[in-house]
Amino acid sequence: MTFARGFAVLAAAVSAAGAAWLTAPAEAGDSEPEVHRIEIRRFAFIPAQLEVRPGDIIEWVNNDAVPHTSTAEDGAWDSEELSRGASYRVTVDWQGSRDYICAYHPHMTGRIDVVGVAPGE
Amino acid sequence: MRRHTLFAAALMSAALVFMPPSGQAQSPEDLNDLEIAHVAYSAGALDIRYAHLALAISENPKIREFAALMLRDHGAVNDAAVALITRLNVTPKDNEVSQSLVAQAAGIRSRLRAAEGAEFDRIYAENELSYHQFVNGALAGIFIPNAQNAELKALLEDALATFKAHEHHAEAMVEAVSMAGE
Repeated sequence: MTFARGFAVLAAAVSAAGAAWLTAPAEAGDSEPEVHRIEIRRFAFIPAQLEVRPGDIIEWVNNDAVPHTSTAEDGAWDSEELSRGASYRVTVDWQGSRDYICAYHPHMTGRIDVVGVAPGE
Repeated sequence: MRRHTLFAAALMSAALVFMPPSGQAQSPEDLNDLEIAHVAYSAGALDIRYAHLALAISENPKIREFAALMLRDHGAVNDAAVALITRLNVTPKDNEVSQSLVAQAAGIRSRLRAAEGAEFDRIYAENELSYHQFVNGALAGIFIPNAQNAELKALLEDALATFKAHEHHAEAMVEAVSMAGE
């Protein structure tokens, strides 16, 4: 292997390692907001009850054939119609607990409990 | 008492559904996947037609809300069924069970069109409950166990979850309508 070719191989390896480092997901730690996924499946929110911290993100994903919504009982959020595969995100900017329903199928209920403090506080 | 009446109506519906006009009963257990798909799609399409009638005739907010839900949900389930048969490149097969469902529904629509006000609401609500009870029984007891294609089976299981929710909703609707009529 010539010096030039060896240098090129080394440079490519270093570049690949750098790219991998740059694209690696951040490790979940106390200082990072967390993304919580709630699946809508067979007419249920899964999980139906979730504990989060201020600043976290909640994402609902509808995996049912029929449309659903995620609608806070107190009006704090409303995804409006989520067809199959659609998702909706809310950033937790409140304290305490909030109940929510599917506006189309009100027997579908869920609850978000906010505990602790925001990351970094 | 009312529950007994409804249960009897549901049983009668079940008996009629599998009794084609010729009088020769077709065994639902003998239906193949393409025939099961046809029955499931037909059942949804018929309930959509009932819902359109309800939205045209009823002024009861609970009836109208339920009918709008039927349009949305049965439309979505049938869209999923169309997507599946398109992907599988197959054609659902008409059969005596589907034909019997269609014939029976025509009679119910005639009754509904002849009624108005609280009477329409009562007939619609009770029919929705017995219809969903029957369809759910057929799905859970016959069609899902007998479906051979895994994707069709999954679609029917999703449909059953949807229709069970409708059945519970219909129970509440029947109760609300009967209380309003007392």
